[in-house]
Amino acid sequence: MNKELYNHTRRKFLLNSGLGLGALAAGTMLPNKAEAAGGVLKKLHFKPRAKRVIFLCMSGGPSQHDLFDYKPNLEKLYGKNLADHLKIPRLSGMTSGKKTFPIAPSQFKFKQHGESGHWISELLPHTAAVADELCFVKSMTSTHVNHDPAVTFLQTGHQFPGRPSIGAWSSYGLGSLNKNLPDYITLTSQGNYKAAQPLLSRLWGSGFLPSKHQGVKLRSGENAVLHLKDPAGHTLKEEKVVFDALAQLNDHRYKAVGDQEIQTRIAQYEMAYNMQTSVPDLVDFKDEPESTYKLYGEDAKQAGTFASNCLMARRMIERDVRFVQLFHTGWDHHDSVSKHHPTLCKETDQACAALVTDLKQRGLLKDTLIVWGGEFGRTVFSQGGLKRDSYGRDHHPYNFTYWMAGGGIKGGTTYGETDDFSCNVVDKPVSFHDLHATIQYLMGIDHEKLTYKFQGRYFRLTDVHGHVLKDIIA
Amino acid sequence: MLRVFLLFSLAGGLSAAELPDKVDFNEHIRPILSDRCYKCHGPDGGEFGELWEAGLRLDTESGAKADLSEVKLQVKNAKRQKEGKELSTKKSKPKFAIVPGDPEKSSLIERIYTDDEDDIMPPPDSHLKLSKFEKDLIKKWIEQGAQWGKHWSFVAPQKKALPEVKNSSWVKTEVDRFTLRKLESANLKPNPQTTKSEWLRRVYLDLAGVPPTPLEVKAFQNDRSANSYEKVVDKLLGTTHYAERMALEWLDNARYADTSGYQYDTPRSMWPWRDWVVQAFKSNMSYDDFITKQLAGDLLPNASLQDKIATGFNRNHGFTIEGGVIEEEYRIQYVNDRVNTVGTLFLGLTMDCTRCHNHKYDQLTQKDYYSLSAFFDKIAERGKGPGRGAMGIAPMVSYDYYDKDLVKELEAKHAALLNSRLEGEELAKFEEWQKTLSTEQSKLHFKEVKSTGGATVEAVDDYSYRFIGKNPNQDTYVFKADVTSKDIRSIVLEALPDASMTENGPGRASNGNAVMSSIEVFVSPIDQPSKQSKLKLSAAVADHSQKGFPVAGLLKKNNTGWAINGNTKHDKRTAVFEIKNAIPKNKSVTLTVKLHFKSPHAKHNFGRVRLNVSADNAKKTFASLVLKDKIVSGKVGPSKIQQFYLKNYVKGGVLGKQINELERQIAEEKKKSVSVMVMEEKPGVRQTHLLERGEYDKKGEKVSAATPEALSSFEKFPKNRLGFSQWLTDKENPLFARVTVNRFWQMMFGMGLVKTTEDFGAQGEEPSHPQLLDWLAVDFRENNWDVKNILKKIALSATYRQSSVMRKDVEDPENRLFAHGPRFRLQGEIIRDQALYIAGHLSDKVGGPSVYPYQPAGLWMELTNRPGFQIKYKHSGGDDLYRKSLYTFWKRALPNPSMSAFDAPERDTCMVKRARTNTPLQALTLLHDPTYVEAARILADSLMRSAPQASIEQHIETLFGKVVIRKPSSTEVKILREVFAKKLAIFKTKPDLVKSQLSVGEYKHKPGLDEVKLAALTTVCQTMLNLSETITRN
Repeated sequence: MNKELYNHTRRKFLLNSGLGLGALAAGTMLPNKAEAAGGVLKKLHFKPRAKRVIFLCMSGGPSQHDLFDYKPNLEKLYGKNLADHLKIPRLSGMTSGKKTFPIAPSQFKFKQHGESGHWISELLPHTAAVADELCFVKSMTSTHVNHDPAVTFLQTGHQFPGRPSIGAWSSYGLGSLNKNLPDYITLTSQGNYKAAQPLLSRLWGSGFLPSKHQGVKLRSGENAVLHLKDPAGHTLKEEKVVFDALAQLNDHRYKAVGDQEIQTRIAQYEMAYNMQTSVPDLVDFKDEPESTYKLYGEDAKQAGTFASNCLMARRMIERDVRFVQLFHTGWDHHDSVSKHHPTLCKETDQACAALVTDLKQRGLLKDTLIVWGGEFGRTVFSQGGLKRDSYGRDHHPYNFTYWMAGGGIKGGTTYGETDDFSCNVVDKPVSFHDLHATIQYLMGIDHEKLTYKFQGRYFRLTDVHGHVLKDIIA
Repeated sequence: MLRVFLLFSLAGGLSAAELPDKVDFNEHIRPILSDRCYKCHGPDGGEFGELWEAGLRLDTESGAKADLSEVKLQVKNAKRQKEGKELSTKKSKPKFAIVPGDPEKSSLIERIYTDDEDDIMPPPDSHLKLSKFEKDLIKKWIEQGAQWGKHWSFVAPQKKALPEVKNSSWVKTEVDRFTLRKLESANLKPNPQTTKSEWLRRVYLDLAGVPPTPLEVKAFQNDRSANSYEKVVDKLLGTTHYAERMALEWLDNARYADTSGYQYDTPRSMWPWRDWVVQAFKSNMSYDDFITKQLAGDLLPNASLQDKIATGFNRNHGFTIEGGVIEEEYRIQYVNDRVNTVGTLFLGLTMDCTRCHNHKYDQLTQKDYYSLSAFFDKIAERGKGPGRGAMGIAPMVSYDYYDKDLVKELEAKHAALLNSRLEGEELAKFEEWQKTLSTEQSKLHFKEVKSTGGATVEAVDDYSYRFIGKNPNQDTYVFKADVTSKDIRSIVLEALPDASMTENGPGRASNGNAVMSSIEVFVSPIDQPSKQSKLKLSAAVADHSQKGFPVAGLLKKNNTGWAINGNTKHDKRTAVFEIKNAIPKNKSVTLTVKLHFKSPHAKHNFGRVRLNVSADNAKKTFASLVLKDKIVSGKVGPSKIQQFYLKNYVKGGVLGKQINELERQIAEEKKKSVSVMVMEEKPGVRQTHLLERGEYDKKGEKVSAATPEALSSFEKFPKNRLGFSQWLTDKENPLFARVTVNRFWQMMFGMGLVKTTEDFGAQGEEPSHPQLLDWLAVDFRENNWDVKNILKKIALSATYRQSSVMRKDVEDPENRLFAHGPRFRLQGEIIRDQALYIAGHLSDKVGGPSVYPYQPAGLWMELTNRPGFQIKYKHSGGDDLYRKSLYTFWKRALPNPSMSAFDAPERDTCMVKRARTNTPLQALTLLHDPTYVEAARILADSLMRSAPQASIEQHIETLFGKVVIRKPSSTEVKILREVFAKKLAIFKTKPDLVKSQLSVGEYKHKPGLDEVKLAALTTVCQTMLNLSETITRN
């Protein structure tokens, strides 16, 4: 057996530290904040611009028409048949049988904001206020018109189940920046729109990668991580009796059989112990001053809301969680964009902007990447009946808008261009593979080089595609 | 030197080592070519070979040794021919990548050794590299004549003579000759044999998924007979535990789940297939039958229901119900899933790589892929599932799992009660009821009856009303009465004959007919007549409807009305209308019924009407009316009358309660029927095409069912799934038996002889013991595919009996030499089952619908709040809370998190090898999941009850015997004694903590124990269940 390794274990630390444990758990990071710690990459391919990522997934497909992609000329074409102006691409089965496609200009007012002069809808006043920090990618494209394949594609680079999610790849490649919290955490919230698309754990799953790379879904309540608390209610100190005994007994066994796996097990119990302090410390907002809620909105006081999750995301970033994935469901407004988009915007706008502002004021935005967007956009034509103040929109993957901020992104810029109908990309199309390649690039990874051999093939997040969007990188 | 080399090849390491004396193509060269070269110089040459860079393909001998200039010319000409251009004869001077025996003339050597960035192979942008060692290997191979060989796994296995070994006394079964031979050639001795108890625990966990009980341990230790080990294995292989343990593996392989995946992840009922698997292992069905039935049970002569259910194997994949999908795209995906599953599970081939193009590494073509798919797409299936509530996409079979004997028995009891002789009060009530039959009556006392068209209304003393005088073209009759809502489920309308009409009517038209155009029913609070609400009607029956004027039409918007042939039939007509939603019970309301006669047929109004209400539904009400008429006219015998009475009119009393209870039980039992998706061949249902780039709508050439060309011949087999399974299990098939025994080996040793269980192709790893793999494969087939036989040979082998203590003298981290016994973490299901089993609390119920063990509340609801799709997880009660994990409801979108924490897959696709990670979430699960906390308590409880006087030391010793099947060391006793003492001190001061410790989980312990002690002992048991040793099989 390996003497050195044995001596190196933290067993002794656990046994000897006594009172020290709480202090340790409160926020000890790895001594050396190596860019790659415990990941498969021994050295990063590039200098990382983003050490951490927050992905704000707007599940259901927000409408680019009503938020970011301003097309004032459509007003003149109100109610006209889109088919008279351009070829209708593949539609979802919900509208493919339609005979006419009445153009539905956004009912919402747009204004230019910031020095950069982004056009932003009145639905997003807070986002508008941080416009100069954001880079808008207007030319996002996807190939899938239905939710399940589209969101699976967004999260894993492939439409069918089985591939690792983007966060799992980062965990696999880069490992963790800290040892008291998981390196990939997911938070979900549900909007007030009841017909929201369901979520599936595979969207943050590890696919064919070992399951330790899957996202840990953090919940509200005291068991923010499943089974965090002793159901019998022992205090941590009381439970430590068992932890200490386990460390001793396992180590005793290790000496007899020499299996290194036992040492790993000892270390994992130590982390489990630490998490009982570090996770409550993360999820307990009592140390947040009232000004925090001014910034994020009153919703943030309510656990499980999107605003609260954004605040949680900031707290995770402070604690060096590598990859934070938020999902907010309910953007799928076939029947009435005009009625439901204001609700969804109200639920998300302020907190998204707060996250940008807050990370910036804490000096964390420079090396934290924020990405905002859904699995597709929405059609310019109305799905049901069309009225000035009432229209629905079907799925539209041929162009939609994302924004990114922080972590090496050039703020106050726009990338790509769409046609007069916001129906097709006319300049610089961006696929999800490109988005993935860019996120990995910003994290210091060459997307062509981070691979995993499975079933005889070297798989990567971007399959055989993907180009880094160098133009949007500062 | 030999040893060094051996380790290299086993570990697949690339560190510099001495070159072997004789370079072997399959062992040394092909893996390098495949991994570093085939991406551009492999089987996929595109349409004409244009993808072969420089005209070089390295996956065939002829390609590798060809004149590259010649190849390039051929490719060029093939292209020109297609474009209709003149063929070229311009050929550059001959050039060879490989010239056997002459590295100098081999351009390949030049290209791999060069430093020139533009020339070096593999090129820098491929991110692939050859090490110096690998280059030297290739060079030496060419020097030695560049001998080629077909990829090992594409050649049928042969049973060669068992290897000679020096230490033959060590050998227990044939297996050992192969492993020992390898150890001896590496100058190594095997590890000593492990203790009897450790082997026993190992073999129990591997073959039964539960540990041995202390009694079984004792019996085995006392058994000094020569075949004591064999007796144990034989016994184990006969248990249901064994069958369930084997099924556990198979469910991952066959991607079994209880939901349909994709976005909505609706529930399904494929568990009868799962039960079929358990029974197949239990009966030791030969493995070829096991596979044949699953692939083609429906095609067997006289296929039984069970044979058909077996084919559910190919329907276990998920399906979508998302609105707006293109069905064909998804149907193709399901067929692809079958091909991929069959490829991985039966052939060890990565078929999915050939979906869009020819395989980059193996000699498999895109055509092979779609030819395979032609076996699996000949069923009439849709791409989109029906909405929620439906359990699957057709074809399906219905599977009744109710206890038929029980139903028979209950029905007999029921009949006996209906025919029992009534006495006393019961008899009096019956007679009273019979009297009511012959008298006409109504429960309704009308406060208003009117005709809006101006007819005169006359009350008749049989509760009916006569409409005389003015007969308007159209009319509406309005009836109002105050009633108690519990009486109202149906409205009874009788149109009676009367002398006031032509030939007694019952219609007022000149020919005696009538057409009622609609009926409306309203209720309002008695004191607020204006607050009227209309009741929806859900059913209508009548004793007669005129052709083209059905009574049921009255429920629809546009209808012809209800007519009664009153011109020829002058009898009473009866109709019953059922109210859809019952009115809140026991409310007094005003009931308003409007009968409209507004059809185009003028004056077709009823002449005498009696209205009534019934508390029964329309069908039952109608039946009782019919019977009543029959009784009155003397057409029914007294026994029928009594049966009807008892069935429908007796609710209370001893007899009534008994009857109702029996009826409830019968109905409940008969509900036990589910639909199972199956394969059902429908020849001619579709033509299969190659799909260009794998896209569902890019149909290429037509293909028919065939197996991959590079494998054994398919000629002599029927061209359907049955033929496919015969081809699989044929002795010429190079892969099926090997891939299967490799998985058995993996189950027992934690890793297959071929480490890449899922890939036996060029990119897979070479077997550590090729001859052993082949010997096992052939032996398996020769012994009639007897699974138990092959497992026994492994379990009894000396290789398997070795101690698992790690060795300092062997540098073989993956234990591919088998220089020590296997040791690895148990899979999640077995960890849970073991804990319950040790606590004596694991249910032994086999099969049936999946169950719901503990799971933190709210998890399912967090995934969707969509109305209609949200399902609240409610854990099972009673025994079902403690069933084997095999029976846990498997939700694809979120498998039980305590299983996921231990690497359970989502079962979206076929999986033949689970990861074995080691994470903090596992620690939290074992410490805090109520499953384990409760099991620890039950265990502590049983310890205290079975040995009330025992000291803590004795308890600890018993615990070790139960949990890790050995005696504790003094250190271990000391540590646990301390846990007990410290916990005891804590619990003594905290009675609330005692209470909460003892109330985790549903299990209610019996009183009578010292609860403080029980709580402290519970934490000792928890500690035991958390030991690394407990969750590891050594």
